[in-house]
Amino acid sequence: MRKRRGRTAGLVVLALAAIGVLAVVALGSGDPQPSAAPSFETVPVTARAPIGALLRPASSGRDAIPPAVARQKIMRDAIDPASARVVRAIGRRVWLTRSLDGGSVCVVAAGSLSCSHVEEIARRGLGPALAYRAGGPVHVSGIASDDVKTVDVTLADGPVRTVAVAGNFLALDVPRMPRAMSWVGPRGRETFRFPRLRG
Amino acid sequence: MHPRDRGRRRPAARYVLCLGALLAALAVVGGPASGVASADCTSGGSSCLPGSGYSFDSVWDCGVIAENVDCYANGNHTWGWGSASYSGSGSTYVCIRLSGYALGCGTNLARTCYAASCNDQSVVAFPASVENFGAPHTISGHAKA
Repeated sequence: MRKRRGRTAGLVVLALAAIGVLAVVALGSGDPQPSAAPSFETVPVTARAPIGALLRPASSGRDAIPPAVARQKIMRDAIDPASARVVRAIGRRVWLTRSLDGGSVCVVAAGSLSCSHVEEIARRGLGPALAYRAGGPVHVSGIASDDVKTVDVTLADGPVRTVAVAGNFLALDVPRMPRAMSWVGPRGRETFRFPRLRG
Repeated sequence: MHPRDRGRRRPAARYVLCLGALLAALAVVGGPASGVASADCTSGGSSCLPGSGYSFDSVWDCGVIAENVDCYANGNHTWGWGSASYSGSGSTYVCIRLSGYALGCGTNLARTCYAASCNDQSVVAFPASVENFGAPHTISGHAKA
């Protein structure tokens, strides 16, 4: 009888040890998850006003930034992944997100982050963004307020291409750095001149 | 088989089952974690976490810089990622330039990686710089190699 109790106790100890080890290993492994984002209601009104794309209901399957991108070093302390909305782009996956402080809207792609201050977007109607990596095209993009529908991009060799804004976002891939982009914002026509591409 | 013999075998079988389950669970849960830890992340790789392998961290600014003027980090390094930011009042357009390898621009904050994966690289050394477009501002640079 005493031996049976001893075996039973041994089994219980073994089972508890197994559960404990599993719990410790499971909790300790893997990457740290991005911290929980504040609810959308806490975002300042200025951060919500001009960007309708960030207000549409999120589709967790379609809009979620893959962990391999969301956890990149350049994203970790800058964006709120929970606010991401996928946007139409060419040749790469792109998302719009709120910045962690709620003061900016950011264009997120693998290895690239370009933000635009919300007040700047509200004041001028558009925040231009640029991304380039050697061997690839120049990714010209912009975060537009709800009222801006088209943007004119002056290409490197002179012609002007009109790009439609969809979901508060415009994207154009070109082989060489364009000269400028212009659009009609709340103050009238605005022009942005692109930096030179060196190196 | 004597009933007492059956009774003796059951606890032994339970011990074996429990031990087997424990070892199998440890193998499943512990396997991938140990794989990441042993990866060589000095030259990138799909199993390397972004940021791993970096050994040089630089933060710089040149004070107030005029439009279109590069403000360089000290020295050439095998930069893996870089950041340009402006934290003063208002806003300005900033760019981070990893020589001719990568460029990122935005309002108040732009970041870019040498590779789209953002993994560290130890192959190419080059200068990194930040730029300002608009009225003169102090732009902060941050990069790791």
